[in-house]
Amino acid sequence: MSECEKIPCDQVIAKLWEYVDDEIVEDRRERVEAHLDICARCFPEYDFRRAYLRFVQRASGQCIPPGLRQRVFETILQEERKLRVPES
Amino acid sequence: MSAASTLSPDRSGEPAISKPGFVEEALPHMDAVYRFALRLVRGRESEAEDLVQSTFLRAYRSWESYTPGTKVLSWLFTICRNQFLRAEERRGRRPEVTESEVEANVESLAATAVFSEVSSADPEKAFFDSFVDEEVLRAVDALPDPYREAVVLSDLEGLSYPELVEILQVPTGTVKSRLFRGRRLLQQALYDYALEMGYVRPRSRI
Repeated sequence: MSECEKIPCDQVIAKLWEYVDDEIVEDRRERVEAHLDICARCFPEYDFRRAYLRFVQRASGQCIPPGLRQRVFETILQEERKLRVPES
Repeated sequence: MSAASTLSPDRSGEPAISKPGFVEEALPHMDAVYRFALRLVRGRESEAEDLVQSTFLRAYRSWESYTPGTKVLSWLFTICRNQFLRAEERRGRRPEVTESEVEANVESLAATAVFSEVSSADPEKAFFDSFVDEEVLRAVDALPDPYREAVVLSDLEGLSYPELVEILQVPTGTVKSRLFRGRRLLQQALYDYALEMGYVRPRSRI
């Protein structure tokens, strides 16, 4: 990579969430990646954000209570019966 | 009546739920819609239950307007969020803080405050491991509406920026800034809580 393609830390940090979220444009991705590989300051920040995402995702794993699942089915079945028997 | 029997054909041989595709495409997302609803109403279970019921009822009534092949989860989340906003309006709840007030608050946080505190006090991964799920969810629930919904859709449910744009009806730039600020607020709240609970020790300043 030539000197003019290098990007400074503050630009990497500004685009870091987009990179971590996999939403960054392709040519910028490569430059951020190249920077992260060699930067002792930015890489731990990247690592921290990845750890944050794994952590909140893990916390979210709740399932719908079985009773509610059943009530949703019943609500839809009731609606279905209304569709089938037109009110006279 | 069991969940299985509600889905099987009735005596006339017709499927109990007649709208094509609804059972296969919409119903598998009940868990995700419940999780989203629960965070929208900040953990109040009975409100979340009402919200899930009304979301799926609306989805069933409007199933014809869902475009097959598009992401059904985004469509369901949109319905869920609209039902939530409508219920809030009926209850006469107004947003407790405006976005600009929150922004002023967020701006006072340094850009990488939590990261720098944590990485010097404690290895960062151990920092996150010190929380139990309920503590994290409580911190998420405490985020102001615009940040909470962005963080939940993106970080808890794994949706993309374009999907957030569609559901929240704001431009990509706004999605990015809400995520940026929401994450910062959440990390700061977790850090403050960790200090209070003694999970981490304050960084010694010399």
